[in-house]
Amino acid sequence: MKKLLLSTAAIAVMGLSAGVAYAVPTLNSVTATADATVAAPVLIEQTVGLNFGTFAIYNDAVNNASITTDGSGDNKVQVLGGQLDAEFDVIGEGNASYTLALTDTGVAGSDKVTLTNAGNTMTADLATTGGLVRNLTAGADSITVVGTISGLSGGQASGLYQGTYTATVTYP
Amino acid sequence: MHMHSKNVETKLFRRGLSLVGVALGVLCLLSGYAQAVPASNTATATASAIVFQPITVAVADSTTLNFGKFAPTGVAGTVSIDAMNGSRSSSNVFLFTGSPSGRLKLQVVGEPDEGFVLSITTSPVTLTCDSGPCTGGSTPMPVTLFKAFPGTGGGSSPIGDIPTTHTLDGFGVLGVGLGGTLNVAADQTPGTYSGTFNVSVAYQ
Repeated sequence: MKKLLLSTAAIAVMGLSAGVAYAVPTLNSVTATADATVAAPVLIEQTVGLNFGTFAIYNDAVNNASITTDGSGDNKVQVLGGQLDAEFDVIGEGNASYTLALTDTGVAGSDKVTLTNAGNTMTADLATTGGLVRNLTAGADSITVVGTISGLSGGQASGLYQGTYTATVTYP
Repeated sequence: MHMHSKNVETKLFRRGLSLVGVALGVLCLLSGYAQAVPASNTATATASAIVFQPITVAVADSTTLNFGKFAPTGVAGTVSIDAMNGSRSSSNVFLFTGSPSGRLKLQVVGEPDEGFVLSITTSPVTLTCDSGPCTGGSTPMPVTLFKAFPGTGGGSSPIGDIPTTHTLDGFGVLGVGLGGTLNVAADQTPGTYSGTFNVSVAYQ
């Protein structure tokens, strides 16, 4: 822009020195536009970890005790609190649809997570309220994942179990 | 909070891109412009659980709650077994001091240092005629149960309807003594009486 101004000034000086009065041509301009639609990246973050809390399996349970992160258990489990469903926040392009995939980082596969404690394992099934094909209403979405461990026996080793899984969001 | 700051960064980034896009458009005379964006994102999610050992209760030393042998009188009376030490006492009945009697011993096993509630799931607890002259018609004898924890001090207390929490020791074990008071009717019909009741334990 500076260069343009300088050359206009130069033309004006030249015009004056020639002793001829004529109009300086108005710099013609056009408003140019360039369009690109950049979709907001889709981002997911865990805000609450999946937690089966504390529970005790009855001694006489044989592959038939179960516990869920919503705090319910069957009659072979004493639920002792601390259960939490997992929560995720997703942000991205408003009203865009996307898919969610949950995959165990261990061996259990899709929609599962393996929890381990020194070689002892429990496998949880993961269920998503609202399904896996979702929509970013107003550019955001909240996901709740409920975990269920079933088939537990009274002989399950006691202790702290932990595991990880990945939650992937993808535009179609 | 982390998500919020990411969001702001994303908006700033987009605004910056738009300005650059206009500048490029002017200089290159609508040469066009496209920007790739991440179409996928992954979060590592965590899962955790704490499994307690099963809590169990079992009869120890093959004991039973045994009120022993006694003779009723013409007035209603009681025979009591102390939950703490198993000693026997009575009112308005005649005790046969040579007959065996004693408290029930239980052992609770579970997660170390955790609280639990012990309860009797049979109500009421009564002794009914097993054999002898009482066969074919007699008054059942109601029992009121008491519990004690000899290893932790303190006296015996009624089991009651309102559960009280107890705590397993550092090895996850606690001994429980069960005693009770047997209510004997006036001129209770002679014979051998027995009954059963269920004891259950649960973490609190």
